[in-house]
Amino acid sequence: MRRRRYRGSSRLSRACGVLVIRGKWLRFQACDADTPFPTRDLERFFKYLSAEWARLLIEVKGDEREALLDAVGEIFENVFSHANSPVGAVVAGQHFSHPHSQRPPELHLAIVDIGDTIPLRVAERAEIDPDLVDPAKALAFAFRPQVSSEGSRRGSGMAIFRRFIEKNDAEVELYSGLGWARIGKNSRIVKGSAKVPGTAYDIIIRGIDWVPRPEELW
Amino acid sequence: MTIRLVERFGQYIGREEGLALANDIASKLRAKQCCTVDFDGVEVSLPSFFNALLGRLAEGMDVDALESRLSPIHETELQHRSWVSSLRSARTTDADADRMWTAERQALLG
Repeated sequence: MRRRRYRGSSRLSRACGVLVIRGKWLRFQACDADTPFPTRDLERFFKYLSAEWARLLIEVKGDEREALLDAVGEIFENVFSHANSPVGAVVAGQHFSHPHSQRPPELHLAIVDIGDTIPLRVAERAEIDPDLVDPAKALAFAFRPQVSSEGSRRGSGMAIFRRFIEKNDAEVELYSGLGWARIGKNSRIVKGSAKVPGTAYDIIIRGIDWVPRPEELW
Repeated sequence: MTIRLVERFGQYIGREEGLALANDIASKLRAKQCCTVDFDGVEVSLPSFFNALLGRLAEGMDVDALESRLSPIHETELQHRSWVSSLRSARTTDADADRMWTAERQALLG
C-alpha cells in the first residue's frame, strides 16, 4: 500500500529574502501576498493566523489558545513598536509530522524583521549598565520584567512571552544581531557567531497534529 | 462611564490602543471619575495593551487610586490575569525587578 505522506505547509521554502540561521538558509518570501506585513495590522495578522494555522490549534483550547495567540501577537507587536523594520514583519510557518520517529509533531512559526536588533535597542541603556553592550547580556535583559523602551513601569511583554513558552512545552529560538537565545526547557542565551540583520523568532509548539487539506496530500 | 473597546478600537487591541485609551481617560481619572473598560467582543487583547494602558496611567497617578477608579468588565480569565499582572508591574519598582531578575539572569547566561 502506498504510504501517504503529509507535505505540510511550507511557506518558508519560497523566498526572495534570505537569512542564514544555524548554517541553514531559511528563506522568506517578501513578495507573497500571504506573509509580509508591512504595517501593524493586528486584524490582518490574526486573520492570517486563523486561516493558515489556527486549524492546527483546534486541540489547544480555551485559555491556552488565547495565551498562545497573545504570545505570538506580542512578538508581532514588538516589530512595529521597537524594530523600525523597513519592510515590517514577515510571518511564516511550517509543520513537521515526524511520522517515522518518536518525536511529537511540531508547528514552527517564524516572525522575522530586518530592523533594529534587540541588543542594539537594549545597548542604548549601556550608560546605566555597561554590561549591556554584550549582545548576549543585552538579549537576556530584554526578558527581564519591567523592561520597556517606553518607561520602567510597563515592560513585561517579553517576560510574559517567556513564561508562556516555558509553561507550555514550547520552545523559541531567537536570533537578533549577534545574540542567540533558546527559551524553553533548557533556556540559554549566548553570543552568536553570525550576525543576523534584524530579529528572527522561530517559535516551536509541540504536540499539534497536522490536519491536511485534500490538496496537501501526495 | 463605560468604554466599549470593540466599538472604539475593534476586535484586536495592543500597545497603540492601550496608549490611546490611557490618553482618553487620564484626565477623567485624575478628576476622580470612575471608568469601566468593557472587553465584550474583543477577540485578542495583547499583554502590551494592559501594560501600555495601566503603565501610562500609573505614571500620572497613584496605583491604588487607579485601581479603585478603573475596572474591567466582561473580561476573560486571561484578560483578568493580564490586568492584575500589569497593575502589579505598575507597583513594582526598578530595584525590586532587579532583585527578582538577578538569579534568572545567571541561569539564562550560564
